Amino acid sequence: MNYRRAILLRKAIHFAINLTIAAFALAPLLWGLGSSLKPTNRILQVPPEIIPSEITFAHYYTLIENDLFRYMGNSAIVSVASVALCLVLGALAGYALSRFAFPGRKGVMLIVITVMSIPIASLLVPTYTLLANIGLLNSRVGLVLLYTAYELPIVIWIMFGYFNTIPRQLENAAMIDGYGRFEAFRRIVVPLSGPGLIASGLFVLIAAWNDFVVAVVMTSAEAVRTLPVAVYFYLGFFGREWGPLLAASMVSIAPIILIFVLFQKYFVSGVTGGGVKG
Amino acid sequence: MTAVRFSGVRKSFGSVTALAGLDLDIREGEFVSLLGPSGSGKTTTLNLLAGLLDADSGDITIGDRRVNDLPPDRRDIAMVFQNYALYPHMTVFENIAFPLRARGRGYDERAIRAKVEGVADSLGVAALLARYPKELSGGQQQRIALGRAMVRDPKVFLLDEPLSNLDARLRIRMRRDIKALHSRIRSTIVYVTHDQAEALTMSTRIAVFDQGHLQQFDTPHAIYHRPANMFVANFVGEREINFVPGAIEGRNGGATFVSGDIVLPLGERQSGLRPGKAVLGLRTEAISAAPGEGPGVPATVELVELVGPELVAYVAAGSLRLSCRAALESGLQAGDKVRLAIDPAQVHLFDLDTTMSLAGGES
Amino acid sequence: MRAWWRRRRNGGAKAGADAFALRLVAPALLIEFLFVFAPLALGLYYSVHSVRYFQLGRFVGFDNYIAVLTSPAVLNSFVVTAIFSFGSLIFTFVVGFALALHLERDRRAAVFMRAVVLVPYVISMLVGSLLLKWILSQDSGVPQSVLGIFGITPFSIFADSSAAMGALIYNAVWRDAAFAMILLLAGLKSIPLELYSAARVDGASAWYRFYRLTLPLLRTPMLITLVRLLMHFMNSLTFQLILTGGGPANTTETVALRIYRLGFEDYALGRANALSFVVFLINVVMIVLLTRLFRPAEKLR
Repeated sequence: MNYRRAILLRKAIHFAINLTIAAFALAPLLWGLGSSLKPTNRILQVPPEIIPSEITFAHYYTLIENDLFRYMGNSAIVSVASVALCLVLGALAGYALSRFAFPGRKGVMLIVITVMSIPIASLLVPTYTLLANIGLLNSRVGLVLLYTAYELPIVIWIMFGYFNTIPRQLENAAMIDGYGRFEAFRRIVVPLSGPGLIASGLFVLIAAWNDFVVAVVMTSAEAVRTLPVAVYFYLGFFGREWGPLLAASMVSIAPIILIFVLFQKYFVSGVTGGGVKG
Repeated sequence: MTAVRFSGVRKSFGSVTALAGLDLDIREGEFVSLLGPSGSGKTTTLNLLAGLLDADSGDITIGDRRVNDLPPDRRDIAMVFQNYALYPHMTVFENIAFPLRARGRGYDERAIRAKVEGVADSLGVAALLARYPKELSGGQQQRIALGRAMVRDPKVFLLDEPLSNLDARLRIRMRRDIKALHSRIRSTIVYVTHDQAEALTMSTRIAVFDQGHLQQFDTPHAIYHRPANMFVANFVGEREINFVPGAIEGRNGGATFVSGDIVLPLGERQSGLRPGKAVLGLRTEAISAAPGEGPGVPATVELVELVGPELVAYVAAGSLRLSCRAALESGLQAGDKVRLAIDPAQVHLFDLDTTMSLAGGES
Repeated sequence: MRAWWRRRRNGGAKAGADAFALRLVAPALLIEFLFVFAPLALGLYYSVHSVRYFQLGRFVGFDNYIAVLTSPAVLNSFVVTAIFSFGSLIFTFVVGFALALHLERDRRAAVFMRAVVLVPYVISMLVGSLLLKWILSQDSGVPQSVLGIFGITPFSIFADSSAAMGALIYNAVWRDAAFAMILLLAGLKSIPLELYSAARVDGASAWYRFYRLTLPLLRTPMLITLVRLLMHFMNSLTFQLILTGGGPANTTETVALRIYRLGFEDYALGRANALSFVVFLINVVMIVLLTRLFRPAEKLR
């Protein structure tokens, strides 16, 4: 049974490859997690301990004393508001693009695609200039509006694609039964759009929660500081004291990893923009 | 001479048995259809033969070679897939030439050109060589897929439901074309289909599958007229067969099948049957309905269909629902009272418990 | 509200539908105009004026553009951006492609592994770079231990310009290989399995199947992946800002970081806006160029 042995060998090789890949992908996180639980004097020890021999939550307490919950709250408010705004506006626009041949439809499509390809780096300074002029710097509203503007095109795109898979006959039937256009959309189409809405919402949520660049440029006041910006400021504040810094990093990524694990299958369609069919 | 042999071949996917011990001998030059509903094991059989799946146990031989451990390309087979599997980024020419190039030896450019053009000529697609698959109709794509299979002169052709994506008319024409092709090239063909009409019209022999078991392997005539069991009787044929549960009474020349109003004297061939419970199988054409009083089983018409030269009537006789034929001129309508006449030459008897054929039908 | 829709619908089906659709897209368009196109316009306006801190001064024409495009720091940042982008692009694409091929089949292990490699991509770039900064710094003790194994004298990675660039590219690959993998996986999955079965029966070896089927059929997804990765790397800011801070001695300062510093450390909003607009134009030109370049491939599909 040479054949079976070959299969066994293949499986072993596959397993070894997978283990290596996982090590490369996750080692920095696990290492950071381990170090965040070590007492300060052991963090800098050379050679380092791979598994902490002594576990302490001291660094996490330090964070709590340094306004951690306020920053988390800000991040949560800004992320959730961005998701809500993006979903409402994105679903409406995606529906219009999917169902109506209105004048200017091509123009709207072009705008959606254009904004998706404009890099944020080239928008930072002009946007800062604008917000300074209209008084939206240092505000959560400003952040929400910016996140919405940046993520809305992908939401429109995903929802457009999703609505295209819902048969038009359903709305036609509903309208014959006496629904108006908007009622047909709200009562028939929206309830059927769960997966599209979840994929879009997840995408916006992760983008908004993770954003650092936009927030660090547009806000400086502590009152509106989001978690990533706080981590960045801890970097300056604690200097080479890695303990609290790594602890803050872990706090910042834990919710995203949880959400990702729970909603993994929806995540992919967001990244690919609703599928890259060749 | 044997072209393909399965002996004791088993295959399961996880806990699902796809093929439970298949024994099958296909002779050289035969056109064998593997017929059955989806999940019956027919496609598994084909994929095992192609080398796209590995058997759990048993032996598969092509010619005189055991091929279980050979990869598909060393089995000297060619295959036509259900969706044709034409390479979308290659021209028709390159598609047909692919099997020659893929082997990477023995063919120079001129030989390839000659071969491809020869095959294209014989299939009447020479004018399409520069096109891409998506520019072709379904029927044309079908021919190109055949061409790609023919170009290497393989020992065995495997065809996996090649006509199922064509419309009804084209399907019937391609049926004729493939049959004509077979009688010209005389290669062994193994043809998977779930369409009993395809199997009946094209094959030299048909292997009927159900739930991973080979039910019957015989000529189309025998499959239709001497079904081995109730499954084959029901699966083969344009309409569902009428099954009438009842009992055999009397014996030795005087045997009779009895079920309610139906009392059917059994002919010579059925004599010698033991009395007891049985199921009578009657195809639509074995029962004729005629209006009015007279001999025969009384029934009421529920629905009438026009099928070209005659009518098919769905009738209720007691608690039975039967389909039967009626003359066009009878002008039957729903609600009419009719009498049913059963052609004793066209009846099949099955064992109620084993579902196996007891005997029956014309020979 | 409801009555309004009714009336319109009865008035004229087409006109009513148009008005309805326009109302649906209007809020989205408003947001995009206010926060994407208006800033671009305002930035353009600022870029041709002298700006002192936040005070808009007189019209200066192309002075700001000339100033940034002749500045050695900016020119250096273009070179750095090119090196970083192409280095990251090649390695990320190759690793992502390898991952896609390795994890293509929907076995349980592959599905699990896809999630594993996606973790660096879904967590925030800031934290990812911070973690790598920690590991690659001598504080963690990792470089000393690992370099020792290979017989290299430990040195400070972030003090050596090529090592720092290497670290940046490593950061990019670590995070974005999974992104490339997802895009390429979607492409791979759109190739019907039957084609591979057919090719196997036709006698094609694994290698032959790869370069006669997989590669040509993956052309469009590969293009999309390359363009999206390149745009991402050309404009990346977080990697540089966190991991190397542009150092040592500005040898890893990319254009995005230069803009950031011009704008938010030097508060030279005129020049920062000018450079932003230049970068914007470069992006537009790149996208147009790259899609044109690959256009002939589209016809085959």
